[in-house]
Amino acid sequence: MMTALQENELLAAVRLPLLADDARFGFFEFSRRAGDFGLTMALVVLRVENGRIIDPRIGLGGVEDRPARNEAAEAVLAGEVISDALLVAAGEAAAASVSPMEDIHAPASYRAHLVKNGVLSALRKALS
Amino acid sequence: MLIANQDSATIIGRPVQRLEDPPLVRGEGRFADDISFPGQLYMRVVRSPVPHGRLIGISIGDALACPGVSAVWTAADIADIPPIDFRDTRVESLVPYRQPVLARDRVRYVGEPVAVVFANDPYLAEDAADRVIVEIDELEVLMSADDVGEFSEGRTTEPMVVRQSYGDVDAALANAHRVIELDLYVGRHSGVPLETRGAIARYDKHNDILELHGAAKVPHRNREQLARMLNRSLSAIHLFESHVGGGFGVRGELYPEDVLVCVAALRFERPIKWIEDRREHLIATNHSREQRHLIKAAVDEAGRILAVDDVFFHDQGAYVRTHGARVLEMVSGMLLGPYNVPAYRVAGHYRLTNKTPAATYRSPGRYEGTFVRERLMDAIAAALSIDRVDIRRRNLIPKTAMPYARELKALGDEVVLDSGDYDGLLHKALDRAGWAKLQKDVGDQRRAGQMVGLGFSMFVEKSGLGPKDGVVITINPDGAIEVVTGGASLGQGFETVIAQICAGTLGCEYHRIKVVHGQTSRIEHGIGAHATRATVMTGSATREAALILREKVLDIASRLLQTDREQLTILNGLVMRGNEPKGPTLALAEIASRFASEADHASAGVSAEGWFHTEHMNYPYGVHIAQVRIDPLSYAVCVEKYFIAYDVGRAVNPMLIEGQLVGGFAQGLGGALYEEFLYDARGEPLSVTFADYLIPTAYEIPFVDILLTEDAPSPRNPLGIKGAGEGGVNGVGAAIASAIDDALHAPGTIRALPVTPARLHDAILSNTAVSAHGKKSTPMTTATGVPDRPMSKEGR
Amino acid sequence: MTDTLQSVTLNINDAIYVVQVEPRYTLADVIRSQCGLTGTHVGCEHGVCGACTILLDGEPVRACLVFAVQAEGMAIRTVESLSTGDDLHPLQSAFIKHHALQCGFCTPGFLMLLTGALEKDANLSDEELRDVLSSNLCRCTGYQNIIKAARAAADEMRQVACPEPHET
Repeated sequence: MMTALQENELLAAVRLPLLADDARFGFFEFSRRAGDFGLTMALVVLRVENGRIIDPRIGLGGVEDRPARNEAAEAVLAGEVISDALLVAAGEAAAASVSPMEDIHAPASYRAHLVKNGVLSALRKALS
Repeated sequence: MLIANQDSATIIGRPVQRLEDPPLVRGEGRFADDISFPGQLYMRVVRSPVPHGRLIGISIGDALACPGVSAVWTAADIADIPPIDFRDTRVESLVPYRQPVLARDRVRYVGEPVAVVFANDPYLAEDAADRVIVEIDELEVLMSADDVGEFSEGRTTEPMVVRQSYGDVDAALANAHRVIELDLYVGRHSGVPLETRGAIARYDKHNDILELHGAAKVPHRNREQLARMLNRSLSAIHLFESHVGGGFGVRGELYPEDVLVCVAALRFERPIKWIEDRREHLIATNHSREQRHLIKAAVDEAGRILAVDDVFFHDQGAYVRTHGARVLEMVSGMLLGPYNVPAYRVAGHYRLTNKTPAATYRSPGRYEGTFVRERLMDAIAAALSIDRVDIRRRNLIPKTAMPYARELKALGDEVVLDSGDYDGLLHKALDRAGWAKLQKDVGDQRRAGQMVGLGFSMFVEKSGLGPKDGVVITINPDGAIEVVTGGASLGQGFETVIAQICAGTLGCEYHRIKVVHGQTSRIEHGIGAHATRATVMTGSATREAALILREKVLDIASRLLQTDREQLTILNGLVMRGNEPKGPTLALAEIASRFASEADHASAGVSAEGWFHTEHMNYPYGVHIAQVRIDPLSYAVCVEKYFIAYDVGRAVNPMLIEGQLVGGFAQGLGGALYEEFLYDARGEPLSVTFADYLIPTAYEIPFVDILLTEDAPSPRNPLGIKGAGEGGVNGVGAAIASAIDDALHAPGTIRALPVTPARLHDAILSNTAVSAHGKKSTPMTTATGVPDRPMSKEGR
Repeated sequence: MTDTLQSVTLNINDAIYVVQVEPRYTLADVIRSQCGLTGTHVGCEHGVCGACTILLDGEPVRACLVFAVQAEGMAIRTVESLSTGDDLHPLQSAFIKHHALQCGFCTPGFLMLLTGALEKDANLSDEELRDVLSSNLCRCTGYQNIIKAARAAADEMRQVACPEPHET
């Protein structure tokens, strides 16, 4: 990953929008041992209105060469009525949409599996 | 006083605190990198970046021009130094496969030393080493022991096949009720102690003595080998062991770097210091364990074994190192464990590949063998629908059959199981672990949706490798006692155990005893500490010496106290009349002074030499029980509970024994679930940092419940001791594999270690086994024209 | 290649050391080679094993990941600071009593890790203790006795920090 900062530039501020008061979140991380870098991380932030998922945001880390939003899973969830089958489908959509890294700890197929279960787990935590 | 004293009458068998500890907790240890001499040069090794190739040329000009550099050597600079030889048995067929100290015309593994840089600062030495240019013409690599290739002109990569057999295996296979066949694999892993290797050589020119500091494990043997290699007389070379940060079998063997610092110290007449870094350690220090077994068992309707036929392929890596074929010998001799097997045949294919060379690692050949044998037992149980415990019971060698001669050899020794109540220990282990309750609780956890399972393994270990050991004990006129041994300490508590035996036998105070080890200048003979021999052999020799010394002491005391010998006893350093504990006493210090003044003696004080000989090793044994849980999201395996039952014959210090068992367990768990030396298809090592090679942390290691028993003392030494160093690691791979199968309700799933979450995921997904590299059956190539090595014809 | 050596002042265990370092020298190497304090050990040089753990302004850090130049002006504490004369720190005594060391190579790192953690909060639960201990590697003990020793020392340190009130 390369910085977008040019040689004559200096980072002056970072603005992060605050989450809404009713925002829910869930986090999943899997690593081989305590304290190791995660082989997959899934972070979910969303709101619920009338039993439907609003504004889902799903971030994946440790999967590809950079952390990224997963639009495939977000698309499955946005505006839909909550059900476990929906969450499972979101996980599957996420797994199908990524091109995971391969390393000695995890071949691509295993990371994809972790993405599927990780997104699912993070969603369940967010909605519990 | 930091270590409180203990009553000498009862000290053998007590969990006393270690004499070694005070300097270590203060940070006052002297590990190899803590040793420095004025004017020393630092040696940095240039290692082959390529796994296989012809060495075309090495350009050292840039390196020589670097600041602080004194010299850069390649093989031409040490042309008269021979390759590193075997430590014990010479095996002719293996001789051409030994490792040269620096690569000459070929490199055979990434990490192989090709040049060395000497500089006045370690950072500068490393800078210069980066400037050495090595030109290599790459050759094809051989990365699996499934295949055989060419090692050199007219030589294949399979120098020998180790064979043992007895009984008619083919008839048994033909007539069996069932034949069970398995293809099993243990992944490449090793000891990986927390201290990397190091060596510091210094030449005392005035006295013509070459010193090597940072020695470990087998200092006397290494001294002999170095003397031969450097063409020096034995008295002109001495090795010094100070503190050692773990050995586990891999530290202390003679490596190229040890030889190089010695040669350099002699040539430059300056001390030479070499300390490897962790990356070097992971690619250059002995690997171990990697084997594939094709095993068959013939069984009857009741599940009794009629024959075992095993063919295995041992991935030795690029060269044969100091152990020769010992690992294969141990596999072949110890594979049958505690079971009665009427007919047996084993063929161990010794195969070289372009990986880091391998050798012994804690319970060598037995961690692998137990995995294979216990998987087989579980498979037999599953095939015949017999309970896993019952199948063992039906095949165990009964207590009444001891001593039981196996008609096999291991480490050049006939395998004669000296004593053991295997069924008794199994019973005690299951009882202690609460097997019935464990099963019930696991049932409850399963109903709650958890993937949990139970497994266990049984095994026989070996200890007390001879043939002999000798010590000298001296009581100094000030009362301090010194035991000089030819042993070695790798952190296991050697000094404390020897002190306990001396104190308990002589009747003195253990905290006044200093135990000397690893110093070839203090005692001519030593076999070191390995093969779990120290407590048995050095301990027994200590007892002999203490008994002789006790007699000398009582001799003098009886005269001084005007009392018959039989009435005297020694307690906590005081000689007294047995029936008058409050009567007159004589301190050992006084006796020592008296002795010294009475006649001409070369040394102050009173001393005695004691020797212990043994014809055979002895055989402790154990049972491991594991409970595992599989995480359904990640397929990570968590070991929730672990029990170890182990019979040591007689325990000198139960606290230290338990420490050995738990420490061994942690390593065994690492090998079962986390640790592996991996290579890519081009031969590039991938496990080169602690982020790749995963040593378990406190989080991964569960509490281990230990049952230590003394039901089967060894008749082979007066104290009945069997060693414990390898009993914690031996059965772990097998027990965890068994438990994972149980958690999956799928016997036979685990056929390869380590069981990583990714591999378990693959196996469950594809409904196949976790097998060697996930490979399906690979055609096995067999070599032709390769000399076999029947065990019966050669010695150690 | 080499940079010019520069003079750096290090405060280690309340003593001042003036050392000559290149910016790239690690704190672990300098403590060991120039300050004569070899109790801090180097196990991996890449920040995983924790054998080099020391306290920097009270925080446990891996000295192999700190450059010596970075530590100027900070209070460095190493294992040599734990005992005074014959008197051992409760952690050191607990390690001996509970057989929490075998080869002793990882021991200074664990002692400093625990000193840092327990000086901040001696009330750590077993779970929190285990979490702290998972930072460092030990290859000999299997951790069981290190956990016991840490627990015992924490209990003792808690008592010293908040002694039982006297009866009047």
